[in-house]
Amino acid sequence: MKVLNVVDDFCTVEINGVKKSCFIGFLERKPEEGEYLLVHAGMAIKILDYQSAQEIIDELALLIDGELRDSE
Amino acid sequence: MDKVLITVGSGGKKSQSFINSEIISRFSNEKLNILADGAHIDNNMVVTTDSFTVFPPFFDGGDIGVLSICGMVNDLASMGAEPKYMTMALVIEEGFPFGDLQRILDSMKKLANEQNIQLVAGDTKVVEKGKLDGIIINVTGFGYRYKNVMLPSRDYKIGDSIILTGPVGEHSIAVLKNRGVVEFDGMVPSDVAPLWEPVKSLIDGDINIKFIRDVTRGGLSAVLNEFVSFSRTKIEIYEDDIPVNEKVLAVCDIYGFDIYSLACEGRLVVVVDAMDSEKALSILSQYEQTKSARAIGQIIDLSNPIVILNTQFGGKIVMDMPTGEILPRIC
Amino acid sequence: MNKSFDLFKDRELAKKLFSHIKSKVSHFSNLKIMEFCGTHTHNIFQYGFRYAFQPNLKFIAGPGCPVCVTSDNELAEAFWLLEKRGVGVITYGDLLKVPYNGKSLFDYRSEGFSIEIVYSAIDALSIAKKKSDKEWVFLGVGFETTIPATSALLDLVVRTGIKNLSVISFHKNTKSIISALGSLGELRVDGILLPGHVSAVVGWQYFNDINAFGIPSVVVGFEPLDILYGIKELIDMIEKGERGIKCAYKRAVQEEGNRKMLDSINKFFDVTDCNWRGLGNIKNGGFEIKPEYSIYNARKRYKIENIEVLSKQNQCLCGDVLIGKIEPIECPSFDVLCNPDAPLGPCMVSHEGTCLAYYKWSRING
Repeated sequence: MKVLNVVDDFCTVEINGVKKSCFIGFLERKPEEGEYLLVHAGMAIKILDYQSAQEIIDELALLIDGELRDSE
Repeated sequence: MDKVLITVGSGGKKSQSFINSEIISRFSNEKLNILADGAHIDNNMVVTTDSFTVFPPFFDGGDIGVLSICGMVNDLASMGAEPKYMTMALVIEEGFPFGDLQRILDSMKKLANEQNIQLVAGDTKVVEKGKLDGIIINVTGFGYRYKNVMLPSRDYKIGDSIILTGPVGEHSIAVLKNRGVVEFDGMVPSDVAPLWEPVKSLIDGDINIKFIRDVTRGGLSAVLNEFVSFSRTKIEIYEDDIPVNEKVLAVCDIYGFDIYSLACEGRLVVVVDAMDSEKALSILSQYEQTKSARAIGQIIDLSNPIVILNTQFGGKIVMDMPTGEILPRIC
Repeated sequence: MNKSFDLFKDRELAKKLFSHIKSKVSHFSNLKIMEFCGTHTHNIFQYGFRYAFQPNLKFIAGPGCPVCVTSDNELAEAFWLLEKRGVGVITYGDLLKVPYNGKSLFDYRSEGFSIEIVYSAIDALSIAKKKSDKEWVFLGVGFETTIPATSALLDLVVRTGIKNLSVISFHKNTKSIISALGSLGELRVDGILLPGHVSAVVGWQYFNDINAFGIPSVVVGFEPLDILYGIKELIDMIEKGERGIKCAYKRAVQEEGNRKMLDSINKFFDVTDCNWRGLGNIKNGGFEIKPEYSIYNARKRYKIENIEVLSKQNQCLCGDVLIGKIEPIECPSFDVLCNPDAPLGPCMVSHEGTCLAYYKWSRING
């Protein structure tokens, strides 16, 4: 869920326009606006690493593309 | 079971077994046993009855008054009947704000006018404070079969098209939010709406309609399961084609709700002959309340009543009758 | 594009990856993969993957639905608190349906007992404040993902000095159960999907004990593409004969966990032996509130001792189903004593448990 703003130990996160407050007291650092959080039962567990997410998607796209080329 | 549980009224599996074991077993007759939204009685007349209890009585996009008129209109529409008359019974808790009662009655009056329905009889009871939470409204609706259409049909074919008239779950989310069960910024208004006009146009358009039911408690899963158990058919639904509201989806994601068990108050499942599916969709697209209608699946077998859902990601699951109350899940 | 992590919900890529896996597993016969986590079980079912690769690949739902493994004696404690001490209980919605001796918290609520549902543990504080004429007990359920939330609640209870709220811990330890699975008998699975959220809290090294079984394992997220990617990675490992733990959820999980969360668990809880529904007593299987916080521990505050437990659990072979040793149909209680309306073990309690899924699936082609 995307971080909209941070106030003390809580922040507002958003998904598809639905905004929700979540507890961020357990995060290693204060998240910044625009970052994504892993939230479970109203509690942020982790600031998500966008870079590594994109890498996996790219890897999968390559794998599938390669397969399609092989089968042509 | 020595006490009545909330699930008896939830529209799911427990409601179904209650109706069979306690109602049908006692009152069994030809008209009742088909378990439709209403009954065809004499002189082309159709009758339906429903009690409305919702907490809170006012929610985003409507109130209990709007809900009761729409519920009644949609039940008659599901029988192919044009609503004409209604009765109303109010059961009110002592101390209920008078202004709220007036607001509810005003919205009922406005909708009844728009739908050309006359209130012809009624009753008001007030119960001691604490004996009831707010207000319960019972309405009984009377309508006439329109152009001799007889719904539901008994005649089904492989390929018959299953249409859903709009996104599911908005009503549940609106009410849960106003009740404080779910909390989020922003608004999802209830989908509550009267649907006789679009149904009338389908009939005027000579669509071969076989079955209509409004999606209420128990959600899409319940209605589709009721359909297969009534028609004794096996159906296949495509998740890719089910219209959804992105916000509802997000709330389901956060709280772990099953979107297909969430209630609507302004959506229909309409089963039509495959040949008429396109035309039906184009008629429905002309009305605000049904403009996002989509064909979501079809009958694939005339035995083995079961609902199969082809998921968005390539798999298949059985869509079951929901089991009970909508609860957040976190684990 | 940049819309939440919808990247991992991409339908088209998911469908392609799905076909890729389908052709990949066609070389195998009767491959068994256990997903440990309840949310994986739920999502694998909901996305339609559970039966999609049969008969080449089967999923075995492991013991990772914390609510489903809540034992009879724990539920008996909750019921006892309601009946004998007249307190109200606050918990997550998941727990309401779990039955003991023919009754669930749902039934209690219908009878007028005070039961409140929260989405987040710390919400219990506002309920106790608002309804201050009553004493409340928060039933802490869940694994290492929800324990920090209970810690945060305990921290608030200590700091605010609120008098009418205490906590009972039904919390379970995933590390112990992973180790115990190996010793419950032969663990007949070819690979394990490890829980993503728990791993984000504890770090994937927490599950290093798994190396002793020689079964390849992958830490997996929860979106459709996460799960498919995890399955693909696991099959790659199986094909190459690789062992050990791989992480397929790097955006959320590292080798080390969330230090602050682990510290909060250690501050309030000790690891203790604990009964798991369907599996029996598991060494170090649970978490109990530390003695120095006893006054906030409902077990101590209300002097819960030796509640007589009427259990039918010994007639349930969930333990064997959970480790993939038997199919549900081989359990003598299946569809006889045990069914969705009167479930015995976690495999039938959970909406997506192996037994319930089996019960339902038998109808799809029938």
